[in-house]
Amino acid sequence: MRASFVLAWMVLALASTDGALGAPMDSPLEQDGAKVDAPAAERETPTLAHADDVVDYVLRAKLDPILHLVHGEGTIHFRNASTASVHELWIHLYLNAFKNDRSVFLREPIGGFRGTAPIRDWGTIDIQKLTLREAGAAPTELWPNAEIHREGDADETDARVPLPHALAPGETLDLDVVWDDKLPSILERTGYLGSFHFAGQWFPKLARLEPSGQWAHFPFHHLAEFYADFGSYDVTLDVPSSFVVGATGPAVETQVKDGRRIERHVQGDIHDFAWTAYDRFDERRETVDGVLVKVLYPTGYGAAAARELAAMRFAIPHFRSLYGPYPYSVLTLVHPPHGAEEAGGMEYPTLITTGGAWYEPKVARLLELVTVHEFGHQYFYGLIATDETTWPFLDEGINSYAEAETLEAWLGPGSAGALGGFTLSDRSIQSVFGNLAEHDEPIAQPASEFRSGGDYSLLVYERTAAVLETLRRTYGDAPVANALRLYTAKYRFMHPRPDDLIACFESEVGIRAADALRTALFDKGWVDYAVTSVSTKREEASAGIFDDGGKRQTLPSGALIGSSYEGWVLVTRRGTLSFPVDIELTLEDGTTQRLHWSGEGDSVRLPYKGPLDLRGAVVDPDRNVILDDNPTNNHASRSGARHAPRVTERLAYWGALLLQAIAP
Amino acid sequence: MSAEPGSFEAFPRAMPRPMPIRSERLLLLPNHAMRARRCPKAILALWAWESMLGAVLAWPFAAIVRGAYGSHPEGDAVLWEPGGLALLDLLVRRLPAAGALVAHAASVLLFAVLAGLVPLAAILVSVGFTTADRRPPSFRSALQCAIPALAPFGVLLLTTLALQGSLIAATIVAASLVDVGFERQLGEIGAGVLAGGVGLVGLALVVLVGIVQDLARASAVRFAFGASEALRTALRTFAGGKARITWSWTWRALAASVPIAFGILLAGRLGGRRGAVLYVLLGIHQLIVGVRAALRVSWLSSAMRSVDAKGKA
Repeated sequence: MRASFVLAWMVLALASTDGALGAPMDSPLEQDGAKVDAPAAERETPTLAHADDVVDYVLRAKLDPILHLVHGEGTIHFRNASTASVHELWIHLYLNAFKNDRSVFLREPIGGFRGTAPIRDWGTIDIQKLTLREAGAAPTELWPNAEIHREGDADETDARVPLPHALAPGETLDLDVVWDDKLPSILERTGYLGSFHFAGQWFPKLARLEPSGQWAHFPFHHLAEFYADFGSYDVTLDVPSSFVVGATGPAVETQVKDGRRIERHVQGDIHDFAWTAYDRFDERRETVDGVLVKVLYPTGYGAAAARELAAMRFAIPHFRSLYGPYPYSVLTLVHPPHGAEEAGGMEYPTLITTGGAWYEPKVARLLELVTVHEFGHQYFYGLIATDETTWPFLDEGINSYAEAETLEAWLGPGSAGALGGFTLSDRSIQSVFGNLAEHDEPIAQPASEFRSGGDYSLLVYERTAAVLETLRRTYGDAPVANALRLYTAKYRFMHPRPDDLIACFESEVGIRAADALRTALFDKGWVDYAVTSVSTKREEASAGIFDDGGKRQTLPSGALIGSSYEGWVLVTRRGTLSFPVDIELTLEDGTTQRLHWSGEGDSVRLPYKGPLDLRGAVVDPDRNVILDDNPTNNHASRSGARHAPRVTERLAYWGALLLQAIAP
Repeated sequence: MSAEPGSFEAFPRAMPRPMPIRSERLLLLPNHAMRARRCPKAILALWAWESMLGAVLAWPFAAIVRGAYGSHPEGDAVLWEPGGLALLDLLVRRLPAAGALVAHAASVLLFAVLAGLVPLAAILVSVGFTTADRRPPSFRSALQCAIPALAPFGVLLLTTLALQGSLIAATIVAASLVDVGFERQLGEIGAGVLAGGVGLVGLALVVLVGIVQDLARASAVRFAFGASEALRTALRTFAGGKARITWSWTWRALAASVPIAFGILLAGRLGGRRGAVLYVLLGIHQLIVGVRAALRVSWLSSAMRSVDAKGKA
């Protein structure tokens, strides 16, 4: 009864307040512009069953594990799927990033993140032949005319190959290619360590041709990943027979002959191909949700492999329910051996690499986190094939959100770890670390524009995920799930851009959420809610000098009327982002009342009147706005008193135990 | 200075010069009477010393938490919320001048290590000696008797730290060499396990050095020896009863870890956010500190009995 009275009074007061509060608060979601139904789940969203096949590779590679050489031969079939004629090809030769210290990769002054270990053995890719085959014409050797590097720039990762004549829209061409790789010591996802070999970006790979006819080609930047057209890959790998092979796509033929293992892997609807060969791999297989999951792991890592398989048992059906089915028949997980960690934590179509020690304790869920994250890339990079170089947040950021969502659905609040009554969630990590760099740089920018690896990882991975999680918490599970469902359905086997993502949020969550998303991504958007003050006193009669009907009357101050309290709570918002938030008032008897604020405007003053005094107030009590720059000012008490009895007791206790262990 | 036949010996039996005892005359206890249970006040004093220093160690950290969440209606209980968002934010973003906090912690620990020699020596006096009327020594006389032992205690501490530090460094190097050197033959895990074994051996040696140090401390108080003589006596004592002495330390160390585990379980169950439960937990935690202090005094009594027996022999 008492609580209802207070609430009713406050709603009335809020409804009559001008300015920031605006409209009545009885329909907050409508007011916030979110759509509470689930339209995308019910609408038929056209989804491609297969990719537009633009470039097909038929390759054969032979590994020399002693010299760490790969000899390759094959053909590339390319179709001009753009609207303009093409006069040249751009071919990525990314192994040359490790050729010398004048490559873009090695000379970029980027600290942190990955790929910073010194190279112990250089790596190269050398094209021996690149021949254009045309019906009714003699083969044309293209490589002698190729521009391997730009003038004044020694980087050889992005080669331009002029064509003898233009390739009109819809026309195709066939190239014969012969090349040799020298794998580097393991660095940035590729290379060798002893007999362990991981071959990523190991073949001459055509850049992506955008619909406009422009090539999306890039040198291999330190922080950047990849971008390519969809197609099919038919790759035959030839390794010593004692080696176990893991590769993109299913092995359709396997034979062991003359001391060599020869495996042919064929997969369509993909845009990259990677493989590994190692003579100390053990293997586990299991069919999960119709997908053959194969885990390759160093001998003795059985416990790690079991945990990775367990992660896949949850993740594959979970991702299917949220983002559509995994369309391939196989998924290979590769756990690199100790010392080859740089090859770990990476994604390729139908093949991912994990990582971690054989004794990785379960109190930290790093193994599960990496495994789910890399699997998530099968969607956010693999199926939704965004430009990872120009818009890295579109794959890493959305995927980090998906990873945290999946881990929390699976493991609960201890999704990143749990120990001694404490739990740590992946989302908490994303929130706190994402906020560290909120004012530094925009999230939405090319990988090569980031000033440091630290900013790149904090903003692209953590903060993007925290932005999406804030939208989910403030606008609801269903609208945000619908937005991502629409995005993944509409752009499966396509190459969406940031505007496409934002349009999906506008459609499913609302224009305000879409605006917040854009501001957070492009304009270093930030927000800080705070309870600035809480003030109450006993309700008093009017005091002072009053002229009434020609009579002057002086009323004394401090005259109490009734037993009520009155006062106000001032809540402020700083920053360029705004989200709807709750404000919770705690009364003297410990009961609480909640009000909803649209979060727009710079501040809101909540008048209070009730039979009990206020103890304090909290804005965003459920921590929905995990982007909040400073959660320690989200609360205030009326008295201003500050107590931390539990922490004081615990710290003193553990301090005494520490001293017992160290002191004499 | 004559010994009372069959019961007490005058303090100290083999002392080359008289100790500056002003308040009361202390007598050496018979070997079997050197027991922790004889001196509950010493245990209480050790508990108070450790709890006080624990609070000093914790105070700046607790003050930061009070500043950050002290005015929250839920108080610092928000730091225990599932997911750990507030706790992580506090640790990563709200610890101003973390270097100052580390310096504070290091200062308190250094003070505890150095100043802790005084109560340690006083405890050894308390377990080894008694007053003429067979009461445990008073706080004052125990401290007075402890003072002469501080110089040898200091030398022993430095010697032990140097030796233990060298052992730890050597263990790390040896374990790394084993890990790398045997990876080819034994595989990564076999080599890792072997390296872990090397680490355990190193840890055991570090513990043994600590045990010998405690024996040396006991001889320094029992016989008023200097550091080198105390160390020789300790080594002779240890050599004469390796297994017995090691087990005497080990079972107490194991027993001292049980209350910690119990405390963790209980804290998880009770929560102790505020009010009466918090006070209950405070009491239980302090009891745990006290139990561990008692086990420490018990071990020091055992060390005193061992050196006393060896000295007599």
